[in-house]
Amino acid sequence: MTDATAKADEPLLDLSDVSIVFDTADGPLVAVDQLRLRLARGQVLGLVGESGSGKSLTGFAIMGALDPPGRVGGGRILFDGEDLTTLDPAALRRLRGNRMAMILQDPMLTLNPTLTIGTQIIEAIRAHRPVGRAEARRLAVAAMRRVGIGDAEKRLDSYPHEYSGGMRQRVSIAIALLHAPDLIIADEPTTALDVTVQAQILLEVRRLVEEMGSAWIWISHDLSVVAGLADRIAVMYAGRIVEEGPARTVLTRPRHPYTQGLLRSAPDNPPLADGRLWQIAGSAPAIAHRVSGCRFRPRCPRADAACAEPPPDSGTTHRFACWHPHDGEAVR
Amino acid sequence: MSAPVLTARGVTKRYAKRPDLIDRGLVATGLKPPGDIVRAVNGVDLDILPAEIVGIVGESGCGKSTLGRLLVGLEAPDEGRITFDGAPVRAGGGPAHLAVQMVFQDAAATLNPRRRVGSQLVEAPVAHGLVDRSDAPAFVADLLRRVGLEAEAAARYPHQFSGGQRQRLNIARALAVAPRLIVCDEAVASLDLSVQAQILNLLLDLRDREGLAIAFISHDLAVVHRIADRVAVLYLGQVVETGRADAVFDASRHPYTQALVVNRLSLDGRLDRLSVLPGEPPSPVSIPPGCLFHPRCPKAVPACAAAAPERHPPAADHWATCNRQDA
Repeated sequence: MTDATAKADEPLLDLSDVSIVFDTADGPLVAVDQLRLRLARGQVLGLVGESGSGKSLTGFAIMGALDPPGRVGGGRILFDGEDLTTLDPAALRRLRGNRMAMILQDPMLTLNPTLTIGTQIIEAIRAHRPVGRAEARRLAVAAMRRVGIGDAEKRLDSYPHEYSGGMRQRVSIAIALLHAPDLIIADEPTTALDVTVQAQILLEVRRLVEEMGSAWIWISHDLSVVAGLADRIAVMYAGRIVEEGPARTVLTRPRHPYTQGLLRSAPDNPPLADGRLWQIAGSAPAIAHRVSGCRFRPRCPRADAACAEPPPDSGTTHRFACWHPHDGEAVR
Repeated sequence: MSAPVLTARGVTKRYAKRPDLIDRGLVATGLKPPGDIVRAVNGVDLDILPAEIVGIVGESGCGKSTLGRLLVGLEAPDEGRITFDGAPVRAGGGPAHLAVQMVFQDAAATLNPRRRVGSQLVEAPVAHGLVDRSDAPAFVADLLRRVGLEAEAAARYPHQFSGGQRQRLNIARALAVAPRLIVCDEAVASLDLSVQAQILNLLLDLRDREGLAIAFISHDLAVVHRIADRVAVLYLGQVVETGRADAVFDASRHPYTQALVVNRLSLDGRLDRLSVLPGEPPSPVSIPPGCLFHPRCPKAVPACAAAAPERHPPAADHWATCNRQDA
């Protein structure tokens, strides 16, 4: 086997036993733990969960962009064979924006309101590539065309406030894609957009996924957004991945009771006989109130005494951490 | 059919930037055109019956939140009238001011973080003479029970509740003055899926148990489809389609509603089903002539730019303002 094929077989991203902790006056608070995740080149992973489940923290941890007092508390994050947790800041900076990039929910937090869009794109190009201003401008126009912005030449000289919300998000996607990164982490990029604009952008993203061959981690609380893009889906609950597998299987034949409850409580399901929606009892616990063993057990209809012990991680290509998993019956 | 609790007829609300001295000088000397006028709500008719949930849907800038503020009397319409039980709803008072209450998206922002929940909930009803202060504990316990919380919650502070529980408190705050209609403005938009289902079920219970009428403002079609009895679809401040929820969503008449329905994502993950509309909703400053939707409409013909469309079919429960019904 040659080096090249060995490299193609090895995952682009490999997280093993990663934890994320916050240092507080009362000692470290573990927000995410036992995180195990692999992502192949060109693959799209949907990372879903409710607020506080740790999905965004996971994205920031991979980018090496956790804000103190948050930090990676343990484990390895291998990116193309290199452990990101041990890289020095300069090496990490060379990777970020170049071989890995991030798209955030609110493009106004990414874009500088006092600089034109063109200035910002050109700056991002020249940060990683030694090209002249004219060449950078040509690349910037191409980058904007790629994400479906018409009239790109003229719009380069506009400021962010002159763009609509959907157009601004296209610009931040264009910036993320500039250097054809191996990995793009997108954190709820379409959540704040209107239905018709979200549809436009998801179709653009789907085309870009096929064209560019980058791997994506698409973070969302909305399973229906992820359903259209992801090859695989990982479901997080209270700081842990409770289920991970092929997208279609997770969405139609979930094994973990939390995934099943989430799918059944979606409003696009038909109503129950009494006209009501399916609901999961209770709410997700704050970090300090997480229980031992299975963290979902206070809300789980299947929970019993066994669930006080940490659940086993079962399955191979479709993994789930549960003592009493569903047997894979179809939910919809 | 019982009489509507709330009726809106021809309601219009405009906003204009108040010109400063320099602007006025420039306009007076002809150096600058007069200021832009935002037509946020533009001739809306709406009826809400007792024990009915009316969904008001549309994208950002369509005027749905402004309409909500007009319905509760937080603002006065520039044209048209809103009546509650036949009496006019007036900004800042009038007989309807307790009977119509509002529930906002951000529950944390409507609760005082420094006061115990019980004392906040009882403040308005005591001030309005609806409850005697000596009856406060029993009143609060009953109110909390109605929204699915324990009586002990009264002694706690808002930060000691989860997001879903805070939205229950927010609903309890609205219910405290015994309204007959509540206006919910994106009341479940920031909640997680599992909690969102709980709050929607609570609203359905309040409708069925207590006969509460609800105006449910949301951008989320799936949520509105599940909870609303009737729906009004807003585009650039106008109702473009209204009818029973099932009829509007399953047999949409207006091309805009059809676009919203077809572009709504579902768990089947089929993006190939999506049919992208060109452009984005125009700003309510520059409203197109004729049919408001014609610049983006896949069915538009030149006549659509010329004249405002009529309601089709006229005098039906389910109508759309579109002249291309046979297309």
